[in-house]
Amino acid sequence: MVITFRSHILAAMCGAALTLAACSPGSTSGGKAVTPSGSTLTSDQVAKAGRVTLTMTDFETAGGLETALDQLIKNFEARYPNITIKRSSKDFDGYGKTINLAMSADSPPDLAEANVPMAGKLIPSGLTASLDRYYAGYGWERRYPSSVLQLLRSDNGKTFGTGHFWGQAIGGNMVGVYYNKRALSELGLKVPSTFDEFQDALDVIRRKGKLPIQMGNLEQYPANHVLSTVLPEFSDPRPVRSWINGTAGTTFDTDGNKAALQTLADWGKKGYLPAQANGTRDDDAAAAFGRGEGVFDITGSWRSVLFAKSLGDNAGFFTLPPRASGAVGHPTGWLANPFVISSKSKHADIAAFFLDYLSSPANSTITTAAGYLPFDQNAPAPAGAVNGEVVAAWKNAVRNDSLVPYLDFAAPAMGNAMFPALQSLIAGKLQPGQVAKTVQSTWADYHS
Amino acid sequence: MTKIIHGGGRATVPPATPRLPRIRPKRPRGPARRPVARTGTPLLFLAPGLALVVAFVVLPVLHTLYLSFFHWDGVTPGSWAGLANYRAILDDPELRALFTHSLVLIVFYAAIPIAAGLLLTSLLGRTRVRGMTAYRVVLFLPQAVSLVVVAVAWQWMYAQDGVVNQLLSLAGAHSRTAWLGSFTWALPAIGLIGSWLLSGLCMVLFLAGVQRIDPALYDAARVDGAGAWQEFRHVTLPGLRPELAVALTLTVVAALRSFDVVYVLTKGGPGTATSVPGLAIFQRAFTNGQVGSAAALAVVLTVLIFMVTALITRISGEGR
Repeated sequence: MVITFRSHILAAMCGAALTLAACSPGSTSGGKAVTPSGSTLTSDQVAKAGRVTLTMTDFETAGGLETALDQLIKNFEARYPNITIKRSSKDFDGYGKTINLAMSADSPPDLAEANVPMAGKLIPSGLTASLDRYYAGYGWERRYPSSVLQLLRSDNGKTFGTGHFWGQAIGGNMVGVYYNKRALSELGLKVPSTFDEFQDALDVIRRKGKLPIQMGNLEQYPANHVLSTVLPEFSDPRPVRSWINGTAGTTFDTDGNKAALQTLADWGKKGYLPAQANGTRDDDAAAAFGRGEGVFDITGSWRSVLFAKSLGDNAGFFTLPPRASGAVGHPTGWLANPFVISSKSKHADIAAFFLDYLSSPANSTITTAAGYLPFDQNAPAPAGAVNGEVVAAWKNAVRNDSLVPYLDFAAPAMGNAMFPALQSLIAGKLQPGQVAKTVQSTWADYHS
Repeated sequence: MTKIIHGGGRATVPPATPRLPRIRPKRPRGPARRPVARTGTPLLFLAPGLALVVAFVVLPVLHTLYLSFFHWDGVTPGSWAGLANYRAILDDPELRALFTHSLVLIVFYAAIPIAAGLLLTSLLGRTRVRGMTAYRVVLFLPQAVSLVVVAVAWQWMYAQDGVVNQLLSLAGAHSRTAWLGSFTWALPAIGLIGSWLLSGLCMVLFLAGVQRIDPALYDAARVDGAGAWQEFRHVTLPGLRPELAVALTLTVVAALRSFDVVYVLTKGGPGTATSVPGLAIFQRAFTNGQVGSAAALAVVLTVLIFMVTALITRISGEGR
């Protein structure tokens, strides 16, 4: 019996191995790509389109953005009673792991939120529809500055900057310098107008025994926001954008980038950053900044709501000033996550119409209040002093076309390689040259 | 796990009681039956369980092995890699460092909990303690709490103004270290969470084992004038041998495949000070788009775990 039993198992295993070997991984089938007509629809056409259910999925599970989405969906359904929108959401971590499966299903959601790394996997599998005709028809191309548009075009999901448009977004977000107005004036300081003035201010604050920059870097990504903010002080932003786009022949290992890394390391060494930043949670550091610990906090516009609440009128915001007074600064910022339309969607035209509705200037009061930064220069300033300053700085950056996207968009593995290296950098465990090499080799592994 | 690997250990202890002659049960009358072993009936009984194991354990393992021979990003068609993924693992000094971290974790996940479990067992098992159940429940509680909750709670405790530093201050040692951000202390800090988690499990295993030991042996030891230590050394410890093997296997495997606590607490940081193979597998498979490499690393880790388990089984003589 034993022998029979064993041979059965063996046979089963061989069978399984053969079945598996028959197809190489990733060659999935099922569900046909529908060629969308690409028509730009009018309100009347949508109203007369009959009963249509659009499904959408996203990773907005909390806060203003989720409320705004629900509100806009409700308004849209009230305006077009024949259209039903079924929205589902998952937290970011879970979403990132399941979006590929969800989109390669036979009947995937019509609309899905996707950041650049997610899009990088969906595009080459042919799971996203080209939005070129909608960009032309609805004038979306004019809506964004070119610094933002570059990452929205790609044919292979690896190299961005040229190719078909793959996504469209409600608004943007940006990183800048939040500051405590009262603390700054008590120290006899003004909002700096050059990068040198900013560094001088850091030194004064430190010597007076206060914390210059608040930071909690336990989650590893916050230091990256500081780096990308400092980077354009030393590097021409154009090659940096090309590098993020994955353009062949570009490198992160440049003198300018190493000087920026050196600055970050110096800030760690000189005590401009909290000594225990690497062991402190991002949320805890933000709460401490709200209690008045730290004069500056270099973080994203998603913190406005919190700081407006905790610091009230004492919260202020500026983008890091350039080295030469009067020159244009280059803050970090991009879209607060585009939506893609599934290549299998039967209602792609209506999905595009809905995207246009979400991002239309007419809705910018709702979206800006929720924390999306508006591309429309005429969008009304939101309530709250610091929110107004953030939106003003953002409009300025959009007008100047000076935004630089997030560095970790450069490769899927970039965050996992770069963020720990930056922890080591601010702790003095890695030198700028070593960090630049780690970052570039991660980039080269993916793009070569 | 111990039961999977057979052979190796030899029986060293002769049976305590002489074997009694077996009394054969009377065969029921009737037509002679075909020998059971010749038919497929036993297989039929095994089939449901076997099908589940094959579907949910064997096939995924084989699939992982298969994937490890490909370069694959998880979505687009993969390309054959041969042994390249395995060679890359051997050539990567950073990956070897991750296995060193696992070795450190074994001290905290296996050595400390087993020592603590034995100590608790000798304290609780030797005498009748009032409120015994309450003690056992409290010590076992960490096992029953969701690991994510555990991790977040420890994140607070290890913070700059956390409970750990407050306790140290009470003891006169003023510390302003955020422990999880320290290149020196983050790994031991993670390890201690493992110790806290697994000590209760070891204790429960050992307490159960102690009840199995013949009280006559303790009486005999006492008559012979054995003290607490000698009693423990010569009666409890040898009697707990099977439980020790189980505890060692469970805890060492827990250390080698540790992932969740690291993932939630530090993401492997600061730098890569707390990174472990489990985390690297997760990152490669789910964010980096290096599924083949992740699969190869998973295969290496699985083989390592099997080898360690086999070693423990052999040493403890539990493979009889």
